[in-house]
Amino acid sequence: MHEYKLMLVGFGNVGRAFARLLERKQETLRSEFDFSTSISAIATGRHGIAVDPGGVDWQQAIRLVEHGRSIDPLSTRHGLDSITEMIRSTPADFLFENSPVNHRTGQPAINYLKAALEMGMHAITANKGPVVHAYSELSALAAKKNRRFLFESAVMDGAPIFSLFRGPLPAVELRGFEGILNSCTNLLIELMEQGKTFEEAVEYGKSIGITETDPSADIDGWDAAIKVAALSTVIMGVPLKPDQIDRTGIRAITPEMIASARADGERWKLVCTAKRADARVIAKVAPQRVNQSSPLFAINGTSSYVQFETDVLPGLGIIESNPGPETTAYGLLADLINAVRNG
Amino acid sequence: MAETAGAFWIAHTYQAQSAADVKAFLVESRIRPAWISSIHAIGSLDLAGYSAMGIPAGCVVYSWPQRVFSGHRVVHTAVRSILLGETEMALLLDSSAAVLLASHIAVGRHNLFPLATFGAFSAFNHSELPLLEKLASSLAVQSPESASPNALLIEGSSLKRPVKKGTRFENAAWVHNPEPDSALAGCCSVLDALFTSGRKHGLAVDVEPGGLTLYTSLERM
Repeated sequence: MHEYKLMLVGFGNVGRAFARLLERKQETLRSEFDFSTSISAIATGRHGIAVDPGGVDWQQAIRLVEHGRSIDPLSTRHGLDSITEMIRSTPADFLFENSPVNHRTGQPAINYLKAALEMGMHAITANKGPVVHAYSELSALAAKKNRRFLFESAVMDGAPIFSLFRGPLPAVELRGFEGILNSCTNLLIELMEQGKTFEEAVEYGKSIGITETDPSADIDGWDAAIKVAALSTVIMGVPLKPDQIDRTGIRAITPEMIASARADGERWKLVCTAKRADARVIAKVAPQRVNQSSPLFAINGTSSYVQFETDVLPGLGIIESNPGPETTAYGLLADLINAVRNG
Repeated sequence: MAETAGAFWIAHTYQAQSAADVKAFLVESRIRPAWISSIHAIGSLDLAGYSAMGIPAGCVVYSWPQRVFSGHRVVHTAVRSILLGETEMALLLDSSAAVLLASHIAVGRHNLFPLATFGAFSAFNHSELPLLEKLASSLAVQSPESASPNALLIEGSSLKRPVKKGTRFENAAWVHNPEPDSALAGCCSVLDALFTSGRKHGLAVDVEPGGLTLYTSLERM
C-alpha cells in the first residue's frame, strides 16, 4: 500500500476541515483505494509553518491555530524563509493549496502551485484565483510533468462541475450559463427579506461565520465574478478575468426594493450570466428580480445554482444546498482520489 | 489499487410522480435520505419536497431538461460520477421511474443488496453502419461478457423484432417499455425482464433523433 505525503498551504476553515476529513476517511482510503496519507507540511498565513516528513501532528496544529497560536513548534525543520522554500525543500506527493483568493492576480497561490508541479507533485486547489489567472500555464506544466492540476472545489464546492464537462458531457458545446454562484449574498438578501437592513444582515452574516471580516469581495460581486471567469475559462474555453465582467454588487438593494419585489411575487437575486457571442463570452454579475417561474427563485440560504445551456441540452441545472467547509473539503478529497486513480 | 470499484443498481420503482412517492420508495428500499449524495431529476423537480424529505445539505441536485435527449445520458453521468468517487449514492428520477445507484463503498457501509451492476454504458453514432452491427462492435469493445444480451430494449429506432438469426442478439428476449418516453423506466423494464427470466445480461438502447445511440448494459446479480 502506498502512503502519499500531503502538503497543505492554507489552514483556514477549509484546510482544517480537509485535515479532519482525511482522518475520518483513512480506513476507506486504505480498504477501498489501497492508499493512505500523511501530512508532511502545513503552511499558514499568520500562524507559521510546520514541516515534519514523518507526519505533522495536525490535530495539535488545529488546536494551536484555533487558539491563535503559531504552529512553528511542531516543525522538525526551522529557518524556512517562505512557503515557496518549504514547497521546494520538502518531499511530498501532493500540494493542497487553500490560501485566500486574490481576485486581481491569483498570487501567491499561482507560484505555490507552480513550485509544487515543478517539484513533481500533483497540485490541487479550492482557490479560484489560479484557475482564472493561470489555468493554461498550470495545466500545461502539469501535463509536462505528468501530474494533475485539479480544482473541483473552486466553484460550487463539492458539486463536480468541471469533471462533468471533462467526463459525462465531453464534446458538448457550452453556449452559456446563468446562476447564483455566491452563497453569502444570497443569504444576505434573504435576511433582508426577513426584515433586516443591509447592515444588520451583514453583521448577522459575520456573527455566524458566513460573511468575512471584510465582506466586500462578496457584497461587491467580486467572488461571483471570479467564479464566472473560472467557468468561462475552463468550460467555455474563453479566458476571462474578473475585471472583464460587467459587475454590480448588492449594496444598492434597499428594503423598499425588496418589499416592492415581494409585492409583485418576485425576489432579488445576485445573478451571474455568461453567453457565448462568436469567439467572445459576454458575462455579467448583477442583482435581478426573478419571478416564480425562474429556477433561481427557490434557491434559498447559502445554496448555489447554475443552469448550463449547451448545444444538446437546453438547460441542465445543478443545485448545491447549503454547502460548508466540509463540502469543499470533500471536493478536495475527490480530486485526491481522482489524481491517484488517473495520475 | 483494489479492484472492487463499481457502480451498483440498488432499487427502482415506477411510482415517482411526487416527492411523497419517492419518499415511500426510499422507505420501502430501507434507504435513508441522508445517505443520498446526488439527485438527478429529469423534468420538473419539487425541490422543497425533497428538502423536506431530509436530503442532506451538500447533496448535489442535477435538474435535467425533459424529452430533448436520451435519459441514458443521465444514467451514464451518474454512473461515471460514482466510478470517479464523486458520489456514493445517486437517486435518479423522472415522472415515470426512480432508480437508486450506489458505489461499492456505500454498498458495504450500509449493507445494501445490489440488484445489478453495469456491464457497459456508452454512445456512438451509427450513421455509417446498421444499428445492430455497430452496437455489437461497440459492446465487444466495452464489455465482451455482456455482448450477447438475454434481454433487449431498443427505442427511438424503426428497428423491430425479430432480430436476425446469426447475430449476437438472436437469443435476446425483446423487452417492452410501458413508458417509452422514459429511459429510466426502460432500464427498469430490462432489469425486471432479467429477474423474471432468471437470466443475466440485459441491454437498453436509445437512439436520439440526431442518430446518436446510447446504451446501458446491466448485469443482474
